[in-house]
Amino acid sequence: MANVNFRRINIDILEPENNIAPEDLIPPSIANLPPVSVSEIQSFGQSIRSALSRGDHAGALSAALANPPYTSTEEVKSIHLTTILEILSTVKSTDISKIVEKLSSDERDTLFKYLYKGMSVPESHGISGVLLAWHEKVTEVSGQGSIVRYLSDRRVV
Amino acid sequence: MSQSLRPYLDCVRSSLTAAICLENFSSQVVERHNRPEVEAMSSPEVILNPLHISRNENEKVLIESSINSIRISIKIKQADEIEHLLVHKFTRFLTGRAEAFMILRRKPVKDYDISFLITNFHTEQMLKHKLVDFIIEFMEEVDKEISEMKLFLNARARFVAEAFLTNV
Amino acid sequence: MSHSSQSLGHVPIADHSFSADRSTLALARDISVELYDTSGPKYSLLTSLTGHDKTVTAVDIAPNSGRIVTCSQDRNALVWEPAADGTYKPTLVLLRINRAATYARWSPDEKKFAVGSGARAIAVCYFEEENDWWVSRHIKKPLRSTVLSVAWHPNSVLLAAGSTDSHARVFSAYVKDIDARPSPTVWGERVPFQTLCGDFVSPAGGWVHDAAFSPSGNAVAFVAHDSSLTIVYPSAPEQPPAAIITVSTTLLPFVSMLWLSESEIVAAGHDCHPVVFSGSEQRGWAIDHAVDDPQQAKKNVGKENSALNMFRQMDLKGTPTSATEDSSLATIHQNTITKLREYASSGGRVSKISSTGVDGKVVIFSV
Repeated sequence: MANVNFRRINIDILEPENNIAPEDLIPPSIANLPPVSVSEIQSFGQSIRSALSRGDHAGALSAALANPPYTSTEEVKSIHLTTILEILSTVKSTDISKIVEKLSSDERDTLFKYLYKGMSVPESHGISGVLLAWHEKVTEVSGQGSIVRYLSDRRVV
Repeated sequence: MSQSLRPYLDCVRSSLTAAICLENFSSQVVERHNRPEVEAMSSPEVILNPLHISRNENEKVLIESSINSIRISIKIKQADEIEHLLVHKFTRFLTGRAEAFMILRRKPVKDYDISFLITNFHTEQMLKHKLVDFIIEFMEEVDKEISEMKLFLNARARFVAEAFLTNV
Repeated sequence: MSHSSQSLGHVPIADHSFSADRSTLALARDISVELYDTSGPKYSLLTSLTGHDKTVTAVDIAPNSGRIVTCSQDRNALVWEPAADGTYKPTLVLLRINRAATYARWSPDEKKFAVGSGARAIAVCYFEEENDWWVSRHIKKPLRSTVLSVAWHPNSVLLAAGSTDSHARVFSAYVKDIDARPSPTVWGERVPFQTLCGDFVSPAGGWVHDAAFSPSGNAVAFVAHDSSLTIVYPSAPEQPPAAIITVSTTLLPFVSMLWLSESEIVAAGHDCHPVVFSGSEQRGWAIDHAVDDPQQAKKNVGKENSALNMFRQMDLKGTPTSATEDSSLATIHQNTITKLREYASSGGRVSKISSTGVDGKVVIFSV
């Protein structure tokens, strides 16, 4: 016998014509993006770390924010998040405004996504102060429009 | 820790102002119904990405928004068992009177201590920036209230113990 | 730059429409539509049209014939015919939708009107003489979510629709018996009913709150919930567009927009004041200036901080907060602006716009 009680199935939400499933929300611009593999993202992380040790914080941040792995697995996404959190915590608090001003509007929107994602994971509770400082500086430049873009952007990082 | 309170509250304020852009939206699942989409969760396209803002692992805010409603959940700082009890009693007191509060949710979201549900009807009757001011003030005041209650509790306990144990 | 405002109670106004000579104003307030006489310094109530059971979401007065179409969350739409004595008689509209109606607009030639609904369909309605009612044809594919707004092309055949699935689409609403064959446009040559002529998304997604064709019909613009305005210039039918220009702003999202001329757009929304954009296909678009700018207003306000005020505050609120804590906003509108409409034009561009909002005010801005 089937385990599911067929009389209780809500047929209306299963009908594809009338409803949007969560998978359909992914915008067409990134639907065909090839997923990044774990090794690629790790080697990318290494190159970022070497840029940081050279002192090129702005360049490292721009490179990391350039192509977020939207269509990759959770593991890849969390590795990339760790890389970016490293960059954010190594920048001195006095340099934050300068770096934020040099970023483009799209890069600032992506940075917001990483700030909020960073605050949602338990590992970042030690550096919340840093994330909040970055948040304040970016809001000064981008305004609340950027936060609204994070809310409605289905390209989840 | 007070130097990180101001950026934390500023972050919550700007995120709330951005998320509280609500409008009247009749349900597209049930006819002639108008219900808060963030609670009903019936159509994924009208629900927005959730916002997490945390100061440390004991204090965080979760803002979930949708087209006609927003749910704000706050985790209050509880350093020890006494504060844990006090927060529990305090939120029970408030949630028991949620009707009068209008924007309070009777049960907090899991992992949080208190939740607010603001719908487009609330933002029509009340000013949005004052609602945001209220939430921020609530977050500031509740910490002070809990510390005050703990002090009074300790003072009362000491007084009672002295009166009981002193040789008459 | 004078703006006149009228405060008509605290009930949110979902939509408004002026008659052609601007002497009558129809307001959708809660479950009824109220008609006001606009001559005189204060608007006075003429009559109230009560035919709906639930919130009225849209009202539109046809400029030439004076007919009023209203639609509401109770799944109905009504067309009100003006009688000689100033009263209005409702005519039945067979909408055949099973969810709320969200938006209704007359076509420029006033033979049809389009109603967007939560039933994931747009109902294009036209009058059927033999039964004396309005019948509808539905545009369903590929809509999969509530339609938030509809806008007609000047040729009364093409329709732009914005919906909560973040797409702005251009459809053909050509009804064979009612419309003459339209001349070919940049959107398409032969366009039978329900043809999808264009499908556009804003880069950061976001529900499309409002869409509008430019005065010539050769471009379409829409505002989405990601605080952006997108303008699309099509090149030819079935071809990718010549240009899609998106202006992302630092402000809160816009809910309503309209074209002032081919190179200017005004939009308003959750920031409670209109913002004017200007540009073109070649130069790109950018914010020009803000109307009723709250930053300007803040600089002009003087502050009085008398002892009387302080004690009055203590009595009222328990804390002696300073007089700078005024709870009203610096803009004229105190809450979200929901609709913008043309009010007056001069020199080939719209010079005055009327706006209504959730705070129950009607304001006429000079732009």
